[in-house]
Amino acid sequence: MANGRGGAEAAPPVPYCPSAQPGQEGAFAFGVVGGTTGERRVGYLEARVPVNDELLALSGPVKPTEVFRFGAPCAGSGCSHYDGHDCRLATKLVQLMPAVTRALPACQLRPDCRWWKQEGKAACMRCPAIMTDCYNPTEGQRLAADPTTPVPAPAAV
Amino acid sequence: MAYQSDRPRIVSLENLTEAAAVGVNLALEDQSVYAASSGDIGTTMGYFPTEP
Repeated sequence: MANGRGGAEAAPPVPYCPSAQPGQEGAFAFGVVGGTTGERRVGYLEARVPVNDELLALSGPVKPTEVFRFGAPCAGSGCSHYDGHDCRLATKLVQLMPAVTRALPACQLRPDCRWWKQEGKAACMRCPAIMTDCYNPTEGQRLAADPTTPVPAPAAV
Repeated sequence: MAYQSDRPRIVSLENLTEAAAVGVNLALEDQSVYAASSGDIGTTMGYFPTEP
């Protein structure tokens, strides 16, 4: 179900991954990790920031993906999470992680975001709790991140 | 379930350096606590290249 913004003329030909690597072609930062020790939360940048040496230097001794969230065109079959139609990571994150906000983040990536287009608001309600690289994942995050974890069956209503 | 009571934070580009410094400190904290104790190299929740 497409939940993203309508208007095909405005959409790029390839949806964007909201948890990309900075070295991917077309990558830009759209979020920065903040919050507290017990509750990490992504803050959403007011504009897309192109990847350059100055930006990457801000992460100092840690990986840029521990500090920033990057968007980049979805790698499709080049990514283990892609099943030929959907991003299984997005599906698993929605099923295995709790929502952390009711309000949609003011996200500069959303109009192009694969997770939004695929999972809708449910993905956005979990997005602030996602760090691309982290050392302290929850069990749900760890399972979702593992491409070998099967997609859980949807809960019965 | 712990919801944020307000809309997720917006970071102005003027404050990007300060915001990134917070993120670096949090990451260093995680590395020192979790990586050292478990030997775990962490988790990547995102683009995961397929095997060549």
